[in-house]
This record gives sequence, C-alpha cells and structure tokens, in this order.
Amino acid sequence: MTSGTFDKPGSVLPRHWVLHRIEPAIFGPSVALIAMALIFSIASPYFLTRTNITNVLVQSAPLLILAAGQTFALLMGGLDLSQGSIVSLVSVVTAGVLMKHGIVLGGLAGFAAGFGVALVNGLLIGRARIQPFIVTLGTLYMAAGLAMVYSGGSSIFGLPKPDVDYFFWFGGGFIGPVPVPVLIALVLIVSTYVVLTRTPFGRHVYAVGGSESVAMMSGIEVGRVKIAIYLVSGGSAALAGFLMSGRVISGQPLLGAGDILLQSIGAVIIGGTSVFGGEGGVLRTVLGVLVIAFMVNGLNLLAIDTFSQQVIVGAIIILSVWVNSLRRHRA
Amino acid sequence: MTGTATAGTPVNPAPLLEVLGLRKTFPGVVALDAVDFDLKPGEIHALLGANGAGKSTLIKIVAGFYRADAGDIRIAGEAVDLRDTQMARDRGIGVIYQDFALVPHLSVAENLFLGREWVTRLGFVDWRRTRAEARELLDCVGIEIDGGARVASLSMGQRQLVEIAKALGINAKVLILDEPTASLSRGEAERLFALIRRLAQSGVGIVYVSHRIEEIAPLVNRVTILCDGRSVGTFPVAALDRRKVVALITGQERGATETAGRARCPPGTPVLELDRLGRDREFDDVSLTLHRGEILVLTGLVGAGRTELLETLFGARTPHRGEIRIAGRPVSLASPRDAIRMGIALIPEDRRGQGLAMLMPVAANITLASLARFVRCFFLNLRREVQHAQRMIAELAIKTPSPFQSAGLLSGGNQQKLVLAKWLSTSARIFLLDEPTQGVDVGAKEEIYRLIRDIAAAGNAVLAVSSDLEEVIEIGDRILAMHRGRIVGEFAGARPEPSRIVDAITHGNAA
Repeated sequence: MTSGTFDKPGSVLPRHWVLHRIEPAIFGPSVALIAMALIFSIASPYFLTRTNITNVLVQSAPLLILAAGQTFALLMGGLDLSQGSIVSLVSVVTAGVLMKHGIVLGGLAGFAAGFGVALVNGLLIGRARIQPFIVTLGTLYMAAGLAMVYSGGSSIFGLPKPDVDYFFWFGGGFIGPVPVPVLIALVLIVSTYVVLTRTPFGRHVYAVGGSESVAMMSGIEVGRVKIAIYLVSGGSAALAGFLMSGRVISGQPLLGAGDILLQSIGAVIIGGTSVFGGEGGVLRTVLGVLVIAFMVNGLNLLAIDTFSQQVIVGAIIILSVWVNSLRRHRA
Repeated sequence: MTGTATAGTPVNPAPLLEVLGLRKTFPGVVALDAVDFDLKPGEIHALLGANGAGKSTLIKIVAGFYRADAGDIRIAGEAVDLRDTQMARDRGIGVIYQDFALVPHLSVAENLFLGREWVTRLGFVDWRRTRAEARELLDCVGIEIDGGARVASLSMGQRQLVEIAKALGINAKVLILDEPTASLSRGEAERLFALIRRLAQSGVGIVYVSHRIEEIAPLVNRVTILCDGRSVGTFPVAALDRRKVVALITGQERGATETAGRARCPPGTPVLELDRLGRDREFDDVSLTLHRGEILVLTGLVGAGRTELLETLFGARTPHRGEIRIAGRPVSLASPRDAIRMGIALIPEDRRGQGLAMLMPVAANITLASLARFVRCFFLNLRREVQHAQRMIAELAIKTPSPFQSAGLLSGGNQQKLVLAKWLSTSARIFLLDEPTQGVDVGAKEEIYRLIRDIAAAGNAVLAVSSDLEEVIEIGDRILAMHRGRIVGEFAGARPEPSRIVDAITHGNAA
C-alpha cells in the first residue's frame, strides 16, 4: 500500500458511497434472481408475463415494506420479531374504528396502535437496554394477544361504504397501470434508502450497528437512535398491516400471524445484510424480497406445494448467509 | 546439532530456541529485519525494546501466529516451519500474552485443560482426573487457589500464574512472557519472579519481554535489545547499565535529534483545570492544570486509574468528588456528547472498542464525530464530506487505497491517525490521548509524535496517558506520575531522570 495507490483527489464522486454498500454482496441474490427467472420462464410460459409479474409485485408489496423497516433493526445488530403481531393489531383496530368513525379515524387509530407497540419496543431497547430479541419476543405475544382481545377473536367484516372502497384502494387499487401498494412500497424503499445513505440518522444506524461503544464515544445518542430504529420497523409494519387489511377489506386478528414475519427477516438476510449489524442496506433487502417472492410464485406455477416451498426458502436463507460469510472470510 | 551456537557464547548446551535472520513486513512497514536470537536451557533471556520495536512481532512468529517472510527458526537444533499456533505448542513453546487467553466464566481447572480435556471411556469429562492434574499444575506454580474457582474471580496476578500453569501443562520447554508485570502489584510481581527463577533452574528457557529496564536486571542472564525492528545486540546482563540500555533502546541517533528538536514553548492560558477530582476505587484527589499549547503526560502503571480519569474528563464516567473547570468555568459532563460540545476529544486506548467503527469506510469514520458540519437541510452533503476526508487523509498521510476502504483493514498506525483525523475534524481544543502509540507500528510512531506536537503547537491542549517511559519523556512538556489513583509527582524541565519517574509510578514516592 504505497501512496501511488491513492485515489486522485476529485476523482471520487458521492456515487461511490452507494457502490461500496451494494457491491459485492448483491452478487449472490442477483445471480439467484436471474437463474430463477431463466429456469421458471423455461418451465412455465406464464412466469414472465405482465399479469404474473404485476401479481407478484402486488403480493410482495407488504413484504417489501416490512422488510425495509426490518433492515434498520438488523443493521443495528438487533431484530424486530413484533412486526407480524403489529400487522394483526393494526388490521383489527383500523377495521374496528373504521366501522363506526370512517376511514380517516380508522387509519389514524390503526397507525397509533402500531406506533404504540413500536414505541414500547424502542423505549425498552433504547432506554431500559434490554436485548431486542427479548423485548420484541415479548411484544410479539402482547400485540398478538391485544389483536385477539380487541376483535374478540373473530374477523371484522362488513365495513361501511364508501369508506371501504377507499380502504381497498390503498391495498388493491391502481393509479393508471401501477398498483397503489406497489407505488407506496416504492416510495418507502426510496425514502428509507435516502435516510440510510444521506442523513446523519442513517449514518448513526450503521455506527451503532458497527460498534455501540464507538458510536457512544463519538457523541452519538445511542438510545435515541435505537428508539428511532424501532419506530421505523414498527411503523413500516403498521403501514403493511393497513395495506394488507385494505386488500382483504376486513380486520383480521391473524393477518400477520403467518410466515410474513419470518419472510421479512429472511428477505433482509438473503439480501446480504449482516445479522451482526453495521453492514448492509435497503436495496439489498429489495433483492431479498424479490428472491423470496419470485421463488414462491415460480414454485406455485410448477404446482409445488406450500410445504415443499418452505423447505426451499429455508435452505436459501442458510445458503445466502453461508455464501456471504465465505466472501467475508476471503476479504 | 550443537554446532549452531553463535561465536562468543559457550558451545554447549544446545539452544532450546534459535532464530536466524528473521524478517517480517506488514503493508507499508518492516516490522522485523535480520533479527537473530537464541535461548539456552535454564536461561532467562530478556527481550527489550520500546513500543513498536518488534518484540511482539518476534514472539508472535515464534508462537506460530505470524509466518516470517525470511529467516530460520530452530527448536532444539532442528529447523521448523511453524505454520500455526498448534504446531508451536506441540513443540513446547508456551506464550503468555499481556491480555490473557483465559475464559473468564470457566473454572481454573477447565481453563487449564481447555481444548485437551480429560475424558472418561464414555466420552464425558473426567472431573476426578481434571481436578487432580489441575492441583498438580497449580502446585507447580505455587498458587493456593482452588481448581474449581472461576477465573473471573481471580486477581490479575493469579491469572498470570494460571496462564503459566497452563503452559506447563503442555510441557512447555520455552516459556515466553510478554510484559508479565504490566498489571501486577509489587508483591505479585515478586512471586512471579521467584517462580520464573525456579522454572529456569528446572531447565525451562524463559524469554522475558519487557520495556522496563529496572525490573529485569536482577532476574535475567542475557539481554537482547530490539530497536526499530532490528536487533541491536545480545549482551550478558552484567555488561549493561541502565544508561547504556536506554541509549540502545532509543537508538543513539534519535536521542540526539530528540533533545535538539525539542522546543519547550512557555505555557499559555489554562484551559482545563481539575480540582480534587475523585471516583471511588479508581482515582482520587486529582488536581491539575492543563494549558493551551501544552503536552501534559500522565504516566503510571496499568491500573493506576489513568484511563478512568480520561474517560471521566470525556463524560463517559461521572466523578464522585471534585470539580472540572474548562476555561475557568465549572462544567458537568454527563456524556461524551456533552464533552464533545465543550471542545474535548478522547483518542482512546481501545481503538477497536471505542475509537473506530471498523466496518465503516475511512471517510465515514473521519466525519463520525462531526457529521453536523456536513448537513444541509436534513441531508448530508456527501461530496463535501468526501472532500474533507481526502484532505485529512493527505494532511495526516494516512495510508489507505481509498477513502471508502473499511477502517478495519488499515494498519495500527494508520488507524490511530484515522482516530486523530476524526477528532481534528471536530472543534475540539482539548485532546485527551490514551496510550497514543499502543499497537502502532515502528514507522508510524514518530509520525504520531509529530502530529501530537503539531496539535499542541496549533494552540490546543494535550493531556496524554502513557506507560511507555521513552514516549513519556519524548513527548511530554510536563510529566505527572500517577500511583494507585493519585498524582504522586511532577516532572518538568529539559530532560527528566527516568529512574525518578519509575520510582514514582511504581512506589508512589514523591519526587
């Protein structure tokens, strides 16, 4: 390493800030995505049609939103297990309030409930300094329970017109040819990307994930950063819950109880964000989501059952982390 | 083969360990060059040198941790190629590092047999045998603790003895001790010396690595001195006195320029004053005044409370007693954030843990403590940030292929410069430096001294902590000696007498 290898001053544009984070970890998931597109398009003529791709994107919009928020938690070296339960809670609260007071208050109440859980997560993790795993495991149970208590354990159907139409528009409507939830997911992806790469808060997320004590000794308010991170991941879960409920025009106490939480964490990991924190980004997560979404879709088209799909998705998660750790050891 | 002994030393007995023409380079620096070294059975051989002279590199090569670029290693006359630490252990080389390799939550006995547990025929741990063998090893080193005690509950001195017992457990013929008294009390050190003598009498060869001249004289047979990666020579201990050792360690040429190039500016206005500052069990009654343009060095043994004092001044710990005044006004520092706002910077001893985010790029580390400077309406101005980083990289001559390289990939010296760059980017006027050249390679050390002088010359105040005596004398305008949490002496003037400083920090004798 001599001075001859220095970059010439002025030759470096801010673009490099982007590149160092998405290269070369995106290599794995990109190759997986392209390979899948090839194999599935040969196996099924329907795979590469516009209808199918639009369908997959609409279906994966909530996952994109959840995983974008989850990325913050993993970058910090934590994780957010309560996302699925927040989806359920937001679903029943929104539908319940909408029933009597309309879409505006319904939406506000739903988001308030979601952010409430997120704030509890943030305070317990950022102020009381309990491990994220424990805190969000606890709120996973609590929010799921609250959703059942609020709804009495049954779905909330028969929402009044015209509010129910607005509600559906968010989860299943179109603006021109573009599905609304896909548009919302895109806006969220772009803004979280900008936050992570272009704001002091984003930089602080990486610093806290890289080393909490270094961040603290650099004058960063670590506790506040953690609270903000869990507001982002819980808030994104609230948004996903709102859109998913709109799509089924009802409040479902088990809406987020399926494997959407595991897919959210899995997508971030497949994308190549380090589970130890400090390394990764939201664009990688988009790739991770696309890998899962198109994998599931392609396997569906090939009439492979859901349970076999789970085996495959699980294997991909392990494989991607393995590939990434090999790469890191070589570096 | 016994014919390999060097001329001037008796032909027999054959050396236990022999190193010939050893060379090792790291990116940008020659850590060792043409180093010869040999160790006879029953000998206590001191390896002396300043921080960064190459002592650690040499022992890490012998321990199989690094591989040499050139040169031979012979164990009992047989040329060996130590590819990993296990190979070195198998050949009877036991190394006891400064930061012990013990698992704190396991018991002493478990630690002694870590990785080579005694098992019963069924594959379970054979506790009876483990306990018995542990007792035997602990008796060998003369320590009365129970094999079942958790390592975490032991004192530093006891841990050192457990480490030695562990090395004896692998039948070490060569025992290498790296700065073994660094964290020991005087009584513990005496016991350690007695043990070392006893082991030597039983035929074990001992390499005693140190930069303390005082403690080795009554202990060792021969002394090899390293300076800037080269061996200055091997001497019988009787042929050396302290003055000669200091001259050899520092290199005479450097000693000359050092006194000449040392311009002691008159102290400026006081910027930081401590009045009887204290924290329970760490330090007490610390009063000092730090002036503008001054480098004040605080020296003392590990555990004297120096790091704790600096962290208190940086708001990472809260004082229990006393007062901190900045520019004459009393301040309360509740967090590093407060301290940074008051214009204080801490360059910590633990770079990995507190100084740098190793995964983040060089540029992001430089601006980590001054991000607000680069914000324009909520967003970071990345172009300005990178330009600033490039300027700092050029100014401090940080060797990195690009500002986007991960900080963790830089060498120790360049990492330390990076930490300095980080704090020079803030508006800090008071620089607290904790062991500023710890883990820094030979070449970069002088550069860091120059940077520290530049920082002071620019009108900042520098309070540095160091246990490296040569360094203390080299950079300090004034020197304060700390002993068991209290300041016990002040040394100013052109050339303070090292032995008086050593006396103050080891015995607490006021100067």
